[in-house]
Amino acid sequence: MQMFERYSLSKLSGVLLFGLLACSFVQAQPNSDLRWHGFFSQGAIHTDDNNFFGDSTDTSFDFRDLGVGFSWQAQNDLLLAAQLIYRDAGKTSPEGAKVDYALINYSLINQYDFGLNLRVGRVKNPYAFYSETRDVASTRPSVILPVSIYAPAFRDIFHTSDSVMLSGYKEVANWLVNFDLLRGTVPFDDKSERLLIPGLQPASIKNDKLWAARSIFEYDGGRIRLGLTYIKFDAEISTLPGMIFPGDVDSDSYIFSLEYNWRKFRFTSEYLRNDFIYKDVFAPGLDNKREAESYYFQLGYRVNERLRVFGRYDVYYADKNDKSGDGQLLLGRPKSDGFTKDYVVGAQYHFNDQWMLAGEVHHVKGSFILPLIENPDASQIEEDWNLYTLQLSYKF
Amino acid sequence: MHQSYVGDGLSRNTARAIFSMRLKRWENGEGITVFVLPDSHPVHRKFTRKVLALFPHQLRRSWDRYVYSGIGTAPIEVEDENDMVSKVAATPGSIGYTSKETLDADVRTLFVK
Repeated sequence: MQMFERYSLSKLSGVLLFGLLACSFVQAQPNSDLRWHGFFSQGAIHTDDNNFFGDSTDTSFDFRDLGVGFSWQAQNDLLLAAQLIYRDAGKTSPEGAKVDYALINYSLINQYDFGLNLRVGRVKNPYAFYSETRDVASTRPSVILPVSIYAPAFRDIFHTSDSVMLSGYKEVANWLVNFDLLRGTVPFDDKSERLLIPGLQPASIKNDKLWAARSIFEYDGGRIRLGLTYIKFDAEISTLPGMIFPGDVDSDSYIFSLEYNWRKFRFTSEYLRNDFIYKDVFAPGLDNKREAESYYFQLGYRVNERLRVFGRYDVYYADKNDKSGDGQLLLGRPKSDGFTKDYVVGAQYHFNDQWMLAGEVHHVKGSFILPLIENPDASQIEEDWNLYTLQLSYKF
Repeated sequence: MHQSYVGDGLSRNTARAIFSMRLKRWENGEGITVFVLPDSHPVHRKFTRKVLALFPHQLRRSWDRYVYSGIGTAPIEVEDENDMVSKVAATPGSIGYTSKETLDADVRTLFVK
């Protein structure tokens, strides 16, 4: 073993003795067990204009998550896991419960400084910092994740997939390098299809393919974290000509993520460049290209073990070449649908390891963040608006 | 206990890999069962800070990602230090920590270097 500074007992503390207890091996016994977990949250949302997750101008309670799942360590190197989820997020959520993930994880190599896992099934896509646990309230920095990177409209394309995935880690000096590679398809339903392209007839997305690659570099146990994500999505649109025509949709996303922890502060920033190309979809023979650019800066402060506060500036441009949103007028939408600038302050209070109450105030300019499906009337959309939310959550 | 760990202890990086639930097997291939005290327990906080040089919330973040995305498990939480010692003593291939000075003969004490 390498030489490290010896941690003598007296160094740890005058009173405390940290024995790392290790039981001797009496017999060969596989570490096999079945474990259950779950989470629940109920939120309230009020907006002074526009609708976000239900009729929020009258205060909406259509904002809840319920998840339950298990993992079973069948053998030392074989883990089976699945989770069901029920989400209510106004009109944007699917009806009924869905299989959130259901996968087999086979551990190919497992050393302290190097590991490699093969995963098959419905998996959570490697996407930026917060996507994999985005429905578990206490894992988020805020009640509503930054729209710049985690827009509800694109959730279903990028969140989960039926895939083959290779994941691993390698320790290099004081850095831990995590990497994920994935190839699969998106588990669309009618509703998520319509969120991608409003007005799409059911089952119109064919032959969709998703590729993802992500690397997260963690320094000193996560004091500094740097992430790079690339996600590519291709699909065919097969529809009867009407408002929309048969064609192709291609999307490329590049995300750069940064987190820096200093004392009780945590600074986080993520940047996304997302190119969408619609070939023939809006008019035969026409390539419609949209280069979205978005980012946020967030500063969190841990007041004590229970209370955390944060502030964030979150920006999204649907087309970086049209930041004022003029192009939206051609689609019959207000200019403000082309952007969102969200100024947020909020707090989380952890009653214990299970229960949490979180609240935040958003001052928003722009309406990209608003689900189209809940705000169909362009004339009713206000460009300047405020959102208030409170959420109680539990997990085990 | 595997030969290479006896009397030699663990490196901090190995201890981190075990308690963050990344390392799942001892060198001889046996599964590792990890026991921890609750996040808010003073001994857990001290162990995490002093021995692993991490914050409890950093560990919790790794565990949450494993559990809620289905790619791993969280450690088994015990009620208190007595519970910790008896569970470690009763579970082959397990690891835990305590501030207690006197331990029973069924457990072996390791040091993190």
